[in-house]
Amino acid sequence: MATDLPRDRRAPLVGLVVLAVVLTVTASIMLWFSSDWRFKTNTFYSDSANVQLTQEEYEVIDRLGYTSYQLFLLSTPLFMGAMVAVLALLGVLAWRWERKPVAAGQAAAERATGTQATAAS
Amino acid sequence: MAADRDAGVDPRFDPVFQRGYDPAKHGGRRPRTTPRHATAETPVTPIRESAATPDAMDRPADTADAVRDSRSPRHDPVAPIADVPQVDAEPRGRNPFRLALLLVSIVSGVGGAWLYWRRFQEDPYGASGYSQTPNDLFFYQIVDALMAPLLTGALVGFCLWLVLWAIRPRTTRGD
Repeated sequence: MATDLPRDRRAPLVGLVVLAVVLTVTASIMLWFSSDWRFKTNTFYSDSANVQLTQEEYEVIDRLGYTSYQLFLLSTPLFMGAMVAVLALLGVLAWRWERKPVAAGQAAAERATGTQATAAS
Repeated sequence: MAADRDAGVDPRFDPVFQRGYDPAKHGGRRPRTTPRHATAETPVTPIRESAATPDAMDRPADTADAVRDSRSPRHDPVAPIADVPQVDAEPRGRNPFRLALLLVSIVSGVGGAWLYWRRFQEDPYGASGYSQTPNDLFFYQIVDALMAPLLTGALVGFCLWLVLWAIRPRTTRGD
């Protein structure tokens, strides 16, 4: 159905699809880095040999774990945005599907009225 | 009309509402021929047609009819509307996109609830333990990140489905 639309009316739908894909991929990449840094942090804390590290080195590891958690938190609204984009796409398509037959019927009726009146004159 | 002009009242309007109205001189109230409350279309059409009206009034009746017939047939009030072929303007059956919206909402809602239920059921001390690999952590976190969007999306989608149902264009069947 979307393929028979003109470009200016198809562009928002393509934009919604692209937005959903970009948000999902971005959130997945962020979650991957979050998981990797969380694993490194966990491994660091579980290794008893690291008790000899300096305060600065501990702060670097703490910062890594903190950033990992923030990336995890940020991925949730990105998934939410992708979900809303998909729902909005379906909603627009459903709305256009509802409107299209009525508009086509009205245009056909107007064409028929004009044709008949022209023939009568 | 000429009598009204000679009597000192504006012939375009009903003399009853004009200064100097005399029932014996101007007669009773004219029958109202235009709607009291004009619709949105009337300000445009009467202005265009009023330019031809004074000329048409001064011409014989057959000439005025010719002027009226020369106008656009779409504005002709005597067009045989009953003969216009009936075009089916009803929507086509069930809307597949609205149905897809409902299905997506149900699936995401059930999926989000199931993920939450799994999280409630698991061992709180062993699920995200230190022995997990990065891949395990990734899937564990992506489930955590997806639960709320799935449930929220289900609610939003269901509301959108109801909205689309409510603002559905009226058909000739009245549904």
